[in-house]
Amino acid sequence: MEKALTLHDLNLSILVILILVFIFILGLLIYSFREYKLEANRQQWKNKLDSFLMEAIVENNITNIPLQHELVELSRYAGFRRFFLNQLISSERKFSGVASNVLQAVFHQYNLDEESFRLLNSSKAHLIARGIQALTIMKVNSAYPTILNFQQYKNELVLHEVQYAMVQFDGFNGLAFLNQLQLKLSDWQQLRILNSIKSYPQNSSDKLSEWLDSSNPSVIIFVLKMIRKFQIFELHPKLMKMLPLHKDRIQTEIIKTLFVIETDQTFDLLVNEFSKLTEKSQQEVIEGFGHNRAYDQLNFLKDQLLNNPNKQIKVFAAEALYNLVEVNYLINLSDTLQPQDPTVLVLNHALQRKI
Amino acid sequence: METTKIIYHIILWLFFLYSMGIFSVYTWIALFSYGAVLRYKHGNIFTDYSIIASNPNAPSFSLIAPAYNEGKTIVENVRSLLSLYYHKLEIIIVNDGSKDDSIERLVEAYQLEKVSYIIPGNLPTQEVIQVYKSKNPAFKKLIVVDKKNGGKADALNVGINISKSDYIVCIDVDCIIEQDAILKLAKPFMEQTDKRLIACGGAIRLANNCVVENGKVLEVNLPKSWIGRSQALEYIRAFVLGRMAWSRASGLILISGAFGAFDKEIVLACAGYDHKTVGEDMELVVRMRRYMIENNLPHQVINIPDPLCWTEVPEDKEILKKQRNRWMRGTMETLWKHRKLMFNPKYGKLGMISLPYWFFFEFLGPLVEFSGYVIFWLFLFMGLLNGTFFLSLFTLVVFSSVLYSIYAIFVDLLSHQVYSKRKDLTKLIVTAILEPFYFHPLVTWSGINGIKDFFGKKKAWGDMARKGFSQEADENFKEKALRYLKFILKELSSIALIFILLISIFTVVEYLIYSNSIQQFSNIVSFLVLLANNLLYGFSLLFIIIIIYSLLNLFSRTLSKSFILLTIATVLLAQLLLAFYFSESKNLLGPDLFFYSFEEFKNILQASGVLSLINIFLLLVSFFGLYFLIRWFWWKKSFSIKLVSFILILSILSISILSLFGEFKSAGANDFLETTERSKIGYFVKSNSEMVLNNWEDQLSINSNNQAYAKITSEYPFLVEDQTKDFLGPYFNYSKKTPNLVLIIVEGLGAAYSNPTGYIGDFTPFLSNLKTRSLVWENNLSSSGRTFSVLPTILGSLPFANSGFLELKVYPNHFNLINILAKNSFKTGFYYGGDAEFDFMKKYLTFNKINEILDQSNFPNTYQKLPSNSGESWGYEDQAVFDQLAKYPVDGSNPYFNIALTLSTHNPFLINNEPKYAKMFESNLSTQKMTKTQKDFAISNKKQLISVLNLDDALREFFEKYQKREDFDETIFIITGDHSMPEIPLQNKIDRYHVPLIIYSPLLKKHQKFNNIVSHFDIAPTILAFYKANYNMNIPEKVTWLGKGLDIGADKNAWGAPMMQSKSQLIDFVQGKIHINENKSFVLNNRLEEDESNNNQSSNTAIEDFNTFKKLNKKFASDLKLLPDSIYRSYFADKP
Repeated sequence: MEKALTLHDLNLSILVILILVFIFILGLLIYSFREYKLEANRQQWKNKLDSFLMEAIVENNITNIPLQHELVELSRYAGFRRFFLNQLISSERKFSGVASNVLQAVFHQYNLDEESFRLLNSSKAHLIARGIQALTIMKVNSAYPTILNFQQYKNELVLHEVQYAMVQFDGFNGLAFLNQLQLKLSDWQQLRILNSIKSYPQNSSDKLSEWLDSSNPSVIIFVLKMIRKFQIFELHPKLMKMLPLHKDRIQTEIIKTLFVIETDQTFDLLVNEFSKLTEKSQQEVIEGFGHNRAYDQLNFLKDQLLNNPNKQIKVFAAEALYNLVEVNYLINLSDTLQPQDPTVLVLNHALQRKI
Repeated sequence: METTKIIYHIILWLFFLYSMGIFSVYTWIALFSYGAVLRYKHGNIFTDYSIIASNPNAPSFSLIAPAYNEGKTIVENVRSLLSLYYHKLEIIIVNDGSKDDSIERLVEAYQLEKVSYIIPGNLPTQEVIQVYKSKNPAFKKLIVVDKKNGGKADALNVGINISKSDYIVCIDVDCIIEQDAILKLAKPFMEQTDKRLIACGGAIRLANNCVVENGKVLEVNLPKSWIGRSQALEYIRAFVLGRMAWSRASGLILISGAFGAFDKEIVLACAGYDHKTVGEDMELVVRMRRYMIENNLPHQVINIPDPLCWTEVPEDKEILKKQRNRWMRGTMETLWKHRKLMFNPKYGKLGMISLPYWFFFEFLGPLVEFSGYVIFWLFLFMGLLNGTFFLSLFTLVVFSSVLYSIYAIFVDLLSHQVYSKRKDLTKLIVTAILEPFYFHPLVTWSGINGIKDFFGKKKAWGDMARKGFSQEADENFKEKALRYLKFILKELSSIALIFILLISIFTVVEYLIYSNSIQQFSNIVSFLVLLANNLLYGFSLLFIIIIIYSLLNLFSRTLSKSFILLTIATVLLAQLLLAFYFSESKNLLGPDLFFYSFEEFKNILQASGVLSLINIFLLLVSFFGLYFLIRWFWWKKSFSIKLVSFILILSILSISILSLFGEFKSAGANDFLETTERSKIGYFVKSNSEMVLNNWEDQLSINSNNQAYAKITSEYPFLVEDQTKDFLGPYFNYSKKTPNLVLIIVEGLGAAYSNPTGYIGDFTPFLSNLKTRSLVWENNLSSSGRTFSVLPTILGSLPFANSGFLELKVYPNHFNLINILAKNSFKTGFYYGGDAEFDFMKKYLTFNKINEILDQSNFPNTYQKLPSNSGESWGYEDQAVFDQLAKYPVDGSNPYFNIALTLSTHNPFLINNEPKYAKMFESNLSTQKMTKTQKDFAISNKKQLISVLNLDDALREFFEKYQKREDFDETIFIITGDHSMPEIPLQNKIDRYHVPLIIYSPLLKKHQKFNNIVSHFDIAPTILAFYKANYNMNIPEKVTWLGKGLDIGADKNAWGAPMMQSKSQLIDFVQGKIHINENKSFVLNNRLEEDESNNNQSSNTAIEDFNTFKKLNKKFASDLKLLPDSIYRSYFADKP
């Protein structure tokens, strides 16, 4: 027979827990006030660093960055060094050109490059990511080979920073990671990378074309965004071929891209494919006709306005016709229809008719 | 009083378990949220949000702000919203039929004009009166919708319909949104990969007492009032700890209505906000998650710890109460609406963790807390309160709450330091300490009112749509409850009727079974009494089943239907099975069923010949036959509510009769007939329930009992100085050699059929003859109604613990005949024809280091086994066991102590030479002087008595053989029964334990018959006292005998003899001439016959002493302490 738990035992266990809770409370209070003090210190550091960086930028003397004794002293503490690094990086975002160069000089002068390299050796993923980011933003080219070593690292934070660094250091060629990419490239990451690519090397369309055949949908979407950014017209035929092969988001993105690299065949081809497209893509096509002034598709748009059963498509068609300066047509049509006809409301909406 | 104590202990435990539950959950939240906050901080430390502020590839958001009578502040609020930093943003203000001049003010301030606007969405809403847009391009993001009043949810739905963006952000118009709030919300949506992010919330902070200018918070301050500060703390706990932990665990189901972003496509697919609930924010998230799970779409709902929104919280008590009341109703409405998900594994974490958490801790929390206060006072007045326990539990709860709050402040400090002033931090900590005493009770009380209003107000149960119980929205709780009751009654009318009908039909079957096998049970009165008893229990069980069904039905119809069908079919089948069991064993089956291991149970069934494929098949066919019959009847037939109401009234009446008077009895029925007339299923259910309750009571026992019988020490209540007299010495001649001891325990040897004065007669001619040369105690009692306690009682005079000493997992050190005699150079052995593992006998004997165990496993196979029943035999016949015992090698150097346990007289009473003993039975019947009743009894128990004759003959042969042994003259034989056969009807309750005790030896000087009441507990003390006095044996001075010796026995008002009817029932006790059975007392005469007692004083003393024993026994069961190790070790270390 096992021993039964008695009230006395319960009382004892509660008392033990109570004592533990009490000790925790005391510990937490002490720790909280310590943390608060640290926080207050950080505020002081921030003020000091702000004025120091402002002075350095105003002085604008890259070759002679002053070594402030106080900052050098504080730099002995890891906490301060990391805080300094954070401040420098957030300041870097606000400046460009010469000011940016000054900040980079400060970075080296105060051995923050060493601190960043030290972060790369950390066992914590977020610190490695922070190190890569700092070295990338401060354009420490010598760090690039070391950063590349992290390409297979098993943490998303680190991988994202490596991808970002590759593009920052290597431009378009840095996109080579797309060749093997299995993970989904989030919209956020796509945007970061796209913003970092400043130029598109001539004759790279083969590479893009290859990525367009990727089995990773996020890579295709990213490349479509690239095509839009750099207006790579030679890929128009490829996209037209791809259009019927995809559904959902990729199809819509292809249509958006086709309107950006539009040729004299684009509109006709889209009209031909129209009935096979998803509803979202159809809306995209009609909206695109309006924005891209597809005057040769007026009849198509009028047909959609009058005969398409989908209310949303009607609205887009009416708005497109409005953009194509077919106001009179719309007004006349509105006048000829019975007031209770649902198309009248669509027309009024498109005409933004005031009531 | 006992019941009150049990209830008290149950409540105590429930509160304790609930507190531990909360404690564990909050500990988990604290640890998990810390990781979540750090992870978010690390992932976003260098994030450059500006990259999406004006990027064409960024997702589009619609910010929807419903407004009702916000005229005074709306212009400023909208201005603040227009300054939000995000390009692809539209701001939709929905004026929900305001009675003030909100629209006019907006039109004027933002140069709005009416436009014709197509509303793309199709959520059903109140009518949209007008859509406005601004002429001024500076306000092109703004859309103002004027609509008829329909509530917040309806207004939000209009906003969703109007929206053209990918995502919607729903806010309260009076909130102050951080400039970069949309940027921060957009990031998680843009980061989603394999799981679709369907909703995202941000932390909300308090704007009270903050310095606000142009819709921006310029300086953060803590609210001035304590109520405000408490809410500041509460918001930190909720957003920094609770929601972050749930977000990380993918279990978040609440995105605050004041500020939250949703995937519009999913919102539309889920039909938008539910305008029937007051908790539309939580309900929408639950519905979205439910939709995603039902469509197998991986998804997530997250919360980010960044403070994105500032809101004014109520600092007025009354407004706060109303707000919390509404929150509670919202929670209940959501839980009710989605009750199908609760504990439904199909819905994963949502169904198994999140919703149960909300149910147990958010909904039940205030209820439990409130009931805690009520119960505290109640117990205080009743004098039941264990002050220390309550005080320590209460202090723990308060301290834990303070710890949790301070921890929240700490995590907040680490992550965002919203309150960065030192004095604010101090104030927050003070708030954390004070809050449990003033703010928390306020919130709890509001929650209770919320629950009350949920049941009382009209709208609350409106959507409880279900077949047969639906839709009338304008009912109050009473009306709804009445309608639900009618619905349940109507639905159950047919099943209740068929249950009662089948109980009655099965009673007829029962009657036929008994009248076939039990001679006394044949008249119509017995049948009517049996029927009445079965119906009493049938109606009572039905009542309980209906209650459980009604409760289950609230959560799941499928579950409740399966429950009622399975339960009713099981109860009916059990009624039949128990009837068969009774007719075979003449015993009621109670909780003892559960004391056997699966293997033991299988063995019993096999040996009884009932475990056959055909029986299993029949059982299954009967079960499913019953199941489908009931189901068919239930679905096909429906009767009036009147009928079922009548059944229910009878049910309540039955429960009252049972609890007040017990079962019916026919006049003049003897004990066995009385038992036959009892409801077998009723006894089974009742005794098992009582056992469960008793077990609970045992678990809860405070063990404050410091009584010690011998008053040596309260730690070892059974430890006594051994003062047993050498009672046997004068009857024995001295032997040069220490006499050997042979103990023969005969299975089922009752006094009723082994004694000419027994109520059946004498069916043991040899034993009767032996008695004339022996010391005989005709009034001897066994310690149990089954075999399980015979060894520990005879060998060690030991207490029972909970279910018999042998059932203990670990045996405490103690003295007994085996180890003491072994210590004095005896060789020891155990002889048994069956499996010695049964009832843990082998384990016990091995523990005592017995020299030899001979049982079925090592029995020489030249012997005959008992005839098998369906291929399974109990083991070797008694003749074989005795033969082996008689062949024990003669070794002059050491005395021996051998124990034999027989088997042939066990159910199913199959023996090898049946015709021989059947003949002997007949001749016995004709030669013996017997009354007609005795004869009738004997004839109706022929099978059993034939096996007794067989045993008796085997004993005769044994003694013949033993006489030839050299050591016969130096041997003492003790013969007794382990209990009376339960299969032979009992005349009195004591008969179950009434067994003969014979001590025979060639060393005896004379024959003597003793009439004092003794028990098996007295054997070991007397035997050892004899050896000690006459053969100078080393016997311990301090022992744990329950018995006082055969000279005293239970006859004198010393200690008395406790007896266990089954492994779960310690209900019999004999002290002096009083027999206590289940708190009834009887007076015993010299022949151990009994009548109800009128001697209150003796009865009360006996009851008191019995209770003392039970308490000490319980203490022993819990402590497992019999004697100090030092005594035990020093005894065995001594030289003999």
